[in-house]
Amino acid sequence: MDSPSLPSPILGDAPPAVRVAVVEDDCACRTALAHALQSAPDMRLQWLASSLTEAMKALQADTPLDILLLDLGLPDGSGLDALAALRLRWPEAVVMVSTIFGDEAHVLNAVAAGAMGYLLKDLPPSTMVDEVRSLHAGGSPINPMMARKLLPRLADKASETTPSVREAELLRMVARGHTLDEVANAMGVSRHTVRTFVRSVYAKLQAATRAEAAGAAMRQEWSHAA
Amino acid sequence: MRPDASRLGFWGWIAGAMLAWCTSGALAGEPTDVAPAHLTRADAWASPDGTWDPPHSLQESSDAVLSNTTPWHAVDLPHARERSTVSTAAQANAPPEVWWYRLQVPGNALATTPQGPRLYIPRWQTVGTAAVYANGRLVWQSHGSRVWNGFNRPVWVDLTGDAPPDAPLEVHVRMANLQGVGGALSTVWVGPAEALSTSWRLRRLLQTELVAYLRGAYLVLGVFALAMWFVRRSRGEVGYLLFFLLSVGHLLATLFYLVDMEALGVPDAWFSWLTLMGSLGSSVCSFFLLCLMQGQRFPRLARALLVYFFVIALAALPLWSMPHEAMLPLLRLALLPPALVVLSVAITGAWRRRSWPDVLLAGTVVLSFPLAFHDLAMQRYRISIEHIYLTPYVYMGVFTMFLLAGFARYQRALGAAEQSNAVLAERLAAQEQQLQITHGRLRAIEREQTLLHERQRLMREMHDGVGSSLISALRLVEATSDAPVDVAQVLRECIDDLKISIDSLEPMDADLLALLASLRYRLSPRLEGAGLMLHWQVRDMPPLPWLDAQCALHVLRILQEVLTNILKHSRATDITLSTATAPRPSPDGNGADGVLVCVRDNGRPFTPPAPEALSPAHRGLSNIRTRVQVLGAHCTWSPSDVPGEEGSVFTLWLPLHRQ
Repeated sequence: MDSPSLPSPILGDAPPAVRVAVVEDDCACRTALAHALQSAPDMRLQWLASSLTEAMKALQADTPLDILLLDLGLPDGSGLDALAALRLRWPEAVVMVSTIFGDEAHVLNAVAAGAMGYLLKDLPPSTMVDEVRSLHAGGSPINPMMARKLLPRLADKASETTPSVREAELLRMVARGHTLDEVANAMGVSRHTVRTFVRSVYAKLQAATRAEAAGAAMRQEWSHAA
Repeated sequence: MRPDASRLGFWGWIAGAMLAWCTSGALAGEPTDVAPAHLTRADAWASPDGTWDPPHSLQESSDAVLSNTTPWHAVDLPHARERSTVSTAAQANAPPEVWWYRLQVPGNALATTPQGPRLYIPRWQTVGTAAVYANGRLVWQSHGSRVWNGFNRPVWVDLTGDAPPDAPLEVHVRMANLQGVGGALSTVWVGPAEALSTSWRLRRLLQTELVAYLRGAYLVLGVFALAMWFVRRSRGEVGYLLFFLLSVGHLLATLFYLVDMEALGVPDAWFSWLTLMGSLGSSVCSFFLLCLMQGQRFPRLARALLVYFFVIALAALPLWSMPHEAMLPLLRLALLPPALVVLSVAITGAWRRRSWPDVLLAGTVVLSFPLAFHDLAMQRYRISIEHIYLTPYVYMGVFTMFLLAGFARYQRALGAAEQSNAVLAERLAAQEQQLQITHGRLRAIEREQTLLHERQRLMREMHDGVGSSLISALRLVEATSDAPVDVAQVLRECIDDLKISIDSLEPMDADLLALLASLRYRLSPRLEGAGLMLHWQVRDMPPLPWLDAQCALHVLRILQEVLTNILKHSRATDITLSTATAPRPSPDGNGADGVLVCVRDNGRPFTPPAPEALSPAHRGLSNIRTRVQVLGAHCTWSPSDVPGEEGSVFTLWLPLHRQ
């Protein structure tokens, strides 16, 4: 029902522009992002918000989205609230968390809550747009620190959320410093395919998190009923 | 209904207590209107008959006791014939003295009752035999030996069939005894069992049964003490053994009060010897027990007492064919010296210690002397033989006092143990508190130390890394006019520095590969941006337990510096980072295990200048050396070992364990 969105079907030669919205409280970053997106022909910036309140309001408007670039630390609340609202309003849309370096723990929490990628704020504008494109195409980024944290988090979960052999191998290689391109080479798959593996891992993390939350809620209900 | 009890003198109070028990319930029997006859007068006659055995009936009596010519003379009961001569060996084999007593019982005492009439003689005593006749017929006679003849058991004879109801009855008592030893007969009671049984029972209880019960109980305690001594004998607690011996001694000493109407089965001489040993042994045990309990030491006295004990024990052995009947009084005198020793020790101890158990014990020992004299007087017929022998109660008193003293000591020991426990608990609590305070202080110091180290580390990082990058940026911006400005590049380096500093704080679990992976993730955009190919040839490595945040940052900075140098100065196109395990390389190698990180490039070969020659411009290089030194690591630069290829190899060796 709320499975991760699939890449939009490509219709004919001219694919429709990717509809992107940005929630970012830092003015310079917001401006830089807006510039980068507007200068890419295959991107369409739907709206910009600088606070949670603005973002919630914009989400209710009748402007469909493919990708939401979301800053987690907003002045009036957590970006995770906007993430939840987006999943209700535009279930097909994908969230990409924009973050500063060294914040892997928060990024991973956001992924567990439904985000499918992250964007480092200090990337050059062109690289940023590439990342958005890759995410829209169904791939997800990952880094060694996240891979290291993901391995134990998924290892002891139920069978349906344990990573496949390839996914586990991917996580191990990334954790040891190999790039996704090197992993793709080693596995004999394309750069894009290996990124879809990452997304599948994220989907499993989200499923495991939901199951955990449901279990916790059920336990709480039982203990209340008892 | 207790006429006899009033005669018990100062035992009246015990009698009163017992009476409450005796008269309540079935023991008192059914009430009856028939009053018993208390015979306090009798006719007496010393017969010339020289036979021990009493005739079966008075008609058969060889001395014609029923003859009208018998010279009876009236006596008051109790009647005692005093010892007239000193005991000699000759007496034992001479024919006995025979005394007859004749008593008249009025017919009204013999009225018919459900239980029938009884004859009750509270006590008779002599060295010899006794027999009782009713209307000329033998109804009771003593058995056993002449010495141990059941003198301490009241005579209780059922007259049913021997005394016709409501008719007067003539009772004769025959006593045959050794020449000159004397004898005594108490008053005599005749009447219905209902009226007499209470006083008979009370007397029997006080004279024998109570003594037997208490002796039995104390013997059990003695056996318990013996078991205690046996279990704990390795600790040398001889007090338990003494306690057991005391209980046995007391039992033997009081045994002859319990002799019943039948023969003993032990030769008289041995029985006497046993009771003597019991009395003597009790005194010796009391002495040692007193010394032990009161912590007194009389080594010479103790030796003398032991020697005395064994001498008497040997001398009194019946093997020497001495006539024991004659020797008995003399041997009784032998008990006096040890008793006096015990008395003096008990008094000394009580005086020294002045604790109530010791005073009570000494009091009991002191009291034992008048009581013993009372018994002696009874034995010599100087006082009424209707008294009760008190020596068994003296023994029991002494024993009870020892028990009390032991109990008091036990109580004190318990109290002391409790107190020492409390003191221990208090001390423990105090030490715990002290420990907590110390712990708290230590923690505070540790925290301060950690903060200090962290501050120093950050300062250094700011100074070497971000700080210097920012200063470079400032200089570049200031000199904007002539130099090609790349402020963005400097800022990127600055951000990289920051990223690496932050990465070093990530817990790495001693995993060097994770550290290298984060370094690559941070630096590869810049390397790739500069067109450098980074080849990653890492393999699994053993964990480095010393790899904390601070050390991780040293490793990161060393490699960052090396990679940045290659990027800036070597014009290389390929960089290969590989890892391996290896011992510490020569020349200062000592064979210690470690890991190698090699960074190989294909650029301009790099030869590091000698440390002395380092200019401020080579600050990066000197930083590397300092950090390597801090880590206890080792690093070298060497020309590429691939033939026909330019470039250089940087090798960083890290130890598995840091000293």
